[in-house]
Amino acid sequence: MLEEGRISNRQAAFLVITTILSTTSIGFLPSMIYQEAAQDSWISILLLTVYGIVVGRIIMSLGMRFPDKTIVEYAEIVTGRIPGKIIGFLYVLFFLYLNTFPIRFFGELSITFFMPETPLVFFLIGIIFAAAYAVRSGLEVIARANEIILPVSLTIGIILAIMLFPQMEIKNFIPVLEKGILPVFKGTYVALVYFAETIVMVMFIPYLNTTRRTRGIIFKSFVVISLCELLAVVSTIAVLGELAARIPVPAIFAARLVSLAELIERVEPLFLLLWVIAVFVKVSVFYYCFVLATAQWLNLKEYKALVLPAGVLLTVLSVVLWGNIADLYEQMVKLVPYFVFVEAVLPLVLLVAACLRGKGGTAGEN
Amino acid sequence: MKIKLFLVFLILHLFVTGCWNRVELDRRAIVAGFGADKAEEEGKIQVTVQVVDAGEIKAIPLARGGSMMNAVTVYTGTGFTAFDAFRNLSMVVGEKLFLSEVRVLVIGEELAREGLDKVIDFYERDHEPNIRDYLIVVKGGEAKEVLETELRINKIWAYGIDSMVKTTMAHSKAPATEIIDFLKAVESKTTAPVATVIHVLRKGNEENAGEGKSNQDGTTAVQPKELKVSETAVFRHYKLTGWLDEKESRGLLWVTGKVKSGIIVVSSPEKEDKLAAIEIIRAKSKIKPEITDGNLIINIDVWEEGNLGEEQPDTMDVSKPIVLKELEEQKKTVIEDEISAAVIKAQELNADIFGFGEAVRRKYPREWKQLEDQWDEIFPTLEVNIAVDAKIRRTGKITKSAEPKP
Repeated sequence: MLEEGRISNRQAAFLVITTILSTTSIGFLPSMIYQEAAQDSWISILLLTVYGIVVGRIIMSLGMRFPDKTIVEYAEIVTGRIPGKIIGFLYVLFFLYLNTFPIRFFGELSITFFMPETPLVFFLIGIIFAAAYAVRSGLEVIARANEIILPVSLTIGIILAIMLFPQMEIKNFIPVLEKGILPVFKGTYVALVYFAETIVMVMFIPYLNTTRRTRGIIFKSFVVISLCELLAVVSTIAVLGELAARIPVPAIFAARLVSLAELIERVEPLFLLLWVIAVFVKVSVFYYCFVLATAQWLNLKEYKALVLPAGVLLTVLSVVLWGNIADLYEQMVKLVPYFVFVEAVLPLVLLVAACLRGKGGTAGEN
Repeated sequence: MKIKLFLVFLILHLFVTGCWNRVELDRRAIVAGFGADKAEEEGKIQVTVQVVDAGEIKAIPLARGGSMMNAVTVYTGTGFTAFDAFRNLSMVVGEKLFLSEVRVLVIGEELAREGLDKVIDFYERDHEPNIRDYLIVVKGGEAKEVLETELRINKIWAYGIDSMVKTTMAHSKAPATEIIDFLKAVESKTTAPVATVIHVLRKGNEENAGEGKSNQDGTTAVQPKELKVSETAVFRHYKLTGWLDEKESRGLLWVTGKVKSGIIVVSSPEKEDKLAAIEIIRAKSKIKPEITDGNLIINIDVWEEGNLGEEQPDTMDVSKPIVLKELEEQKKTVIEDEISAAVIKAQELNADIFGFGEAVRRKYPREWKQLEDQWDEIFPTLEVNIAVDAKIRRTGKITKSAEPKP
């Protein structure tokens, strides 16, 4: 087998949480949701949570039919050799392409808010180099690192929210559903991609050290994700109000507004710390999925040889795919249907096909 | 092998020591105050910055034999936009200006009348400035003049202005507006933004202004110029449209619930010519819109609590509850008066500085859709009811003032 390491259910849940939260709560998503749903963004989050759990259940059910294989391997079993290879390739591309968003965004954010004259590639090489090291060390290492990173970043996030408390205004949430329910649905649209990132589980299931109670992973992760997400969205709206729509990363903007007794001010370096470690995990996870999927797709015996070339590819793609930040946003919205297809629709189709053709075991446990 | 690799990484650290555009502290011109005016040349903007002389901050203060009372240098330059003008200043200063330590953004009246949009965007977009800085408009003057005024409360004059604005909480006769408050009001469809106002007071006439009472070292004890923070600037969107005087300013603060402290002067219930001063301890307010039969009424509820701080002798016996009751009534009238003065002025200017529109929107989102577009016609004739609940809780260390016995 390509990967010798094994992770526990808890580690898998932690990975899913960090992966989703790093872009959704502290990244650009709250602003994009706010642009549509305004003060009702929190309802969008609740809807998205339900959606995330449903998609997560589909993905887990599919994965548990083949508890010792990844999607690249069992796609061939379910659909036959050629279509299976095509589906496998889709996932390879998906893991590569989706990863360029957080990488590029990480660079853009660091430049805009902290170091305006530093060339972009230095940030990208920095984060990809760190991620490459993690990926080379294997899944177990990423999972263990994340066991430290996630609690640390959650603590920082909560501290930031507490520090902003004096500036929160509850009236920013009223009136509820001012423009009807439609904007709330529109607000969920962009986020559909990010709340279905449980798709990484299709690569992790064979490496879980137990096949019992695996479904709990999804539910537990989404409880945490939803709570953190609400905390992030609610506190940014409470602090910034309508300003949140114009600011790509409201959380960091809000962090700048912290002022406690004129003593604790401008705490955004704290935010940068949180952002760097969380994005590092997310990038590593997708990077790992890409490398592993490629190795399996090509029937290689080892994936480690692919790590460095993949890193170079990621760096180059992150730089050349988008000319500027406006480009990045436009693509992010445009590509939603394609990403959602790969993340949610395709697993559902595979699950139905597997059930109909009687492939794979009956879904593990219940 | 591992040791070698470790060493390689260790050595790498020597070369990656910091951010790309780092500028050491002593090579940085730290700006403490930022001012913007309309330049004399048409279409240009004049920017004034107060740069901190880093070496002078720690210098021995004048009182203990030091030589300098100021630790700043003021530079002025022009450009087509605020950013342009600001960067042009580096030609004069010789160092790159650093904006993160700015605490006050001062705007000249002329530029404010033309529109703050020419400055605020830069201030919000750039990564250095903080939008929690105070926004101050100079009434009848230029920002340049304000930033050039020597202040004694702080060696860094701009920080002196900053503490003057913070001190508005002691008198509540001017709002302390942060840029973010301004922006939030700009983004609202109906709310009119406000800003703090600063005045330049010139002592005596210009000629002998420089020849005040001289100290031994040649500096003057009486400053030729002084600054004063009071009153409110009222905007429509980005453009300055009018002013609230001190009374109206406090009226505004009553409604927005931002009165922290201050003195209310009332006449004594028993003798008209004698006065009493009551200190505000805390206050709360609520704006309650009400629609009955299609008529919109705004109810303002203000609750205030204060202590008697002063009475002019030979007036009243405040140990009697009935006297305090009367005083409370008096105080209530004064507060109501202040609020209605502000409301009348705001309606005259047709500027919804209180956020009535937002309050209606929150309470009646459905009806608001029709009202929204006509708000400019509705607001000036809006019926506003003011209900004040004023309390006097304590009367200080004594009950009666000293009186000559008959």
